[in-house]
Amino acid sequence: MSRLLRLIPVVFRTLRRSPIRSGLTITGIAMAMYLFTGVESMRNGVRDATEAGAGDSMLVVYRENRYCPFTSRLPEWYVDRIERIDGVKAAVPMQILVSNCRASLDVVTFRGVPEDALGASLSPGTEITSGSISDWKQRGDAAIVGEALAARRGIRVGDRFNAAGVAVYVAGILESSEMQDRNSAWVHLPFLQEALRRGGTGGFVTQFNVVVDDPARMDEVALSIDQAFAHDERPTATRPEKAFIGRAARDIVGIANFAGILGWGALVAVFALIANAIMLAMRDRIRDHAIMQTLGWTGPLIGWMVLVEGAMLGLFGGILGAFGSWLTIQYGRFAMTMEGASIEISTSAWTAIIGTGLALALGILAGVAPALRLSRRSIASSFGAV
Amino acid sequence: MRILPFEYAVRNLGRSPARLLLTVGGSALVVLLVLTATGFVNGMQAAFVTSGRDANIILMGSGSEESIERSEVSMRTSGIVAASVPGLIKRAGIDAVSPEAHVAIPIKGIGEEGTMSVIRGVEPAAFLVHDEVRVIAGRPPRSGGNELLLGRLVARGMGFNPPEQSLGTKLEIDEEPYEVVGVLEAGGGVAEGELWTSLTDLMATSQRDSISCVVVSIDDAEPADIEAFAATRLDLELIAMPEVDYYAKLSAFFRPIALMVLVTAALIAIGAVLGGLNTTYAAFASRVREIGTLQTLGYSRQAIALSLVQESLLAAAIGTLIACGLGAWLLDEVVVQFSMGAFGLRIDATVIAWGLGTGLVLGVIGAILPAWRCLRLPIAESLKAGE
Amino acid sequence: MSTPFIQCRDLTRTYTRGTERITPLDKLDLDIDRGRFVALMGPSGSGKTTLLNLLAGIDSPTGGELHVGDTPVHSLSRGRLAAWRADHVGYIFQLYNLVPVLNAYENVELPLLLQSISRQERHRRVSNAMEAVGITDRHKHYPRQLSGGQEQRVAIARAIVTEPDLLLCDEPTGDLDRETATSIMNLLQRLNRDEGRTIVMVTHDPATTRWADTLLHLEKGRLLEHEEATT
Repeated sequence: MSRLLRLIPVVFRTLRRSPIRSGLTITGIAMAMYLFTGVESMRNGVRDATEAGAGDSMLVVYRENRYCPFTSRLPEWYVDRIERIDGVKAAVPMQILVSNCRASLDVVTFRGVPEDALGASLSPGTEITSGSISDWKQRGDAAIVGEALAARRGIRVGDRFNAAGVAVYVAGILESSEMQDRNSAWVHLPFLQEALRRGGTGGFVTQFNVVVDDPARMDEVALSIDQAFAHDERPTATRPEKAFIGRAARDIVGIANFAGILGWGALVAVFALIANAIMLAMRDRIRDHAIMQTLGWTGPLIGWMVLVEGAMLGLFGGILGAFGSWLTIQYGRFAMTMEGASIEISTSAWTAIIGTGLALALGILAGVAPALRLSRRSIASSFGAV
Repeated sequence: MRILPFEYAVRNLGRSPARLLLTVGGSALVVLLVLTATGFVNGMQAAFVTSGRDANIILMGSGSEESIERSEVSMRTSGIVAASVPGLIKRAGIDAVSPEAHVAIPIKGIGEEGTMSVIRGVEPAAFLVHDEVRVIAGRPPRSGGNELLLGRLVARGMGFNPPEQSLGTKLEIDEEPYEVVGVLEAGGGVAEGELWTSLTDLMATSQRDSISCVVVSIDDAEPADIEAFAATRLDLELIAMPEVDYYAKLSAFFRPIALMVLVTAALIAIGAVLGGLNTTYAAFASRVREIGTLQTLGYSRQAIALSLVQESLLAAAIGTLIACGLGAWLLDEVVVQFSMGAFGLRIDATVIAWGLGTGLVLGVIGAILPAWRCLRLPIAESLKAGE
Repeated sequence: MSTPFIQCRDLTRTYTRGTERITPLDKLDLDIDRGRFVALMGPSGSGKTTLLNLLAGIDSPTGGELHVGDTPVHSLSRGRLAAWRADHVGYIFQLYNLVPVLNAYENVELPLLLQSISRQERHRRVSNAMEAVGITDRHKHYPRQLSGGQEQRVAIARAIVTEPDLLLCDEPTGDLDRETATSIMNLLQRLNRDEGRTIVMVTHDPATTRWADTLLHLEKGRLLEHEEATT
């Protein structure tokens, strides 16, 4: 075993001696893993935004057959009827204003809620990290900005910022485990209604966010709400929040699925790059291997060195690419928004670690066939090849 | 400088059929990828560029400059504009004043999952204002009939090729049945990704009491006249924006997406080039002794480098031409449904030039660095290579 | 007395390998008259291949002077050396070094493409060269289709097709069997005696020296012995 480990520095020196070939291969792997990690981060974001967790208890009541916030208009007085439905713990009317309904990277979403309902609108575990809710309550044009949006736009407490024709004063920054909360700016409901239309929206809001008593009864409560308004002039469509996001951001989900194919393609490319590099290296070293065998090195030992070489190429390229991508995403704070629903391109160090691990595994896999071939080769045939 | 015969480069390609296939195939794939990405971006941007007319000014709700779908304008605005602003285009007694409702709403074929689309509710004056729009099949929709005019790309995206086959199709908007009575084309503009219907029908279906905008075509009037109108009529809460400016803004809005697509394509292409470089380097390295012999015979390093680049360019050129041919044949006008609209991939001369340029770069870079490495060796050393 | 064709004065070549300095040729003084057939011998590392490379202009001395004919080869730039080689030197390698994608005719023609001569003139010279070495019946064959001896003949034809003043041979029979080697040496001798070409040949094989008329022994970069053959 110690002999096997002693060979690892030897392999490393061999790689260093061919700096151009090794450099090209490692750079190629790094690019492929950069892409793979970026794609996985996008897919992570889609999963986090659209897959319901066990403790999720938020429903979104929207105008039936509508997704763009501009087109969903529900009377504010619906909230009284919703609160009376069995299973509903709390209901908050919410006006949404987005700078653009179409999918893009830099969209600002405003969420207008009644003054006393801000706490109920935010998810549990949300923390106001600077400024305060009381400051927010003191000014009609105040906003509490999610930290992801704040970071993207370089906003701090005390700033004024303008988007979508709305000018607000930043009274606080919040941190939250919920993606939508992090990427929105929370303002007063009447302020937003006035901003949308002078004189207000005439008592209409975009949606109601409903918290249920028992997460296991979400579907039942959703059905009850829709049945209550089915014959009204403005019927509703109620869904769990995550499912609602998934439908609203269909384009983004579609892009993420397509990107998944690219991600697989990147892994195939990594395998091909390492396999190619090893094949070229083996062709060059036929004589070297023949001489090593005459000195007493066994075939399996030489095969082991090939495996280690593949593993090293995968490892170095993987670290470079995967962690490079992780850093880019950490600092870039990218989020795609569509129809008011935000999907962050988010990643943890785990994604980078898994990406590196995959590159390492692919490197070993790419070395298996050449290693087996080499380990079975006789000395005579090796010299015959020279 | 005396150069090596071109035939030498050609014949060297045949040395390893497997390597030639790899190089040609690799180049073709990379160029095809570049064509797809640039065709996507080109199509997206072109739709916006061709969508604005210089003579058209949009009057929309103030604060809605980024998105007409959000704008709300009083119904009486179009009448007031027509009466108050002189110098607008007029044909056969009709003012070029088009009140419009732009609504983003899911459209369903009967029993199918809805696709988010933009429906534009218009009156007959719209065809005067947007004179790039032509009905290429069927007829314009009539008021009260729940009739639709399908954009050419929407029809193709729904699987109707030619688009005329969509006539008579029944669709659902907010559970109200609509029928396709015509197909429009707009010279590649955004309208080709929209559905048009009667303004009153759309307002009834979507329960709107306001329109999105009024679009006017100016004749003797100046854009400043329309801006002045908007500024003085504070009760209407309007802003005036030239149509070209609105679409320019929309185009800029999608720029990050376009950038993402191009960066992804670039990453993949660079990765492929790096892989190819290794293989080319190995191929040249196995000929170091031959290269030393040619230098011994009196051929200069530049002449030999040129021959190696010729070789690489030839292989890349074959792949590039295959890709450009395939791209022009298969990719042009492929419909992409994205973000409440549809546009066609556009493989035009500019995109093909990008493809050719990529092939050129592949061919040159693919050889220059490996050739430089091999030619760097002193002649005496290269003659000993392989010993 | 006429001026020697090749003159080496204090000819030195030094390499640096890491921290070590290696001097395969150390202030070599040597004269070779035109039309001689010289065999260079010596143990490994004696500098004979280095001397051959300097004579061919494919390496440059670090000290001293080298004149071949009227040309001060030691002072030529890389570009000038290439041009001089094309016109004045024919080089024959141990491993032939034919271009695998060119047939025998095209390999022989290759050096002529560097000269401004007509196609007909090129054809005439190639045909003459191939006839001189006895390989005309194989002109369309590719190197992989030729035996070792035939390849070496093609390589010799390539070396003489430009009618160079100087033929340099690096172990020309090192890879050949005895019979083939003999025929190649006979050919070289004929080129020397009948056509008056100056030949400098590096060899490890004492058997091949009997075709030469001058024998030079090098050791540690210096001339140890200079023998004239007795005919």
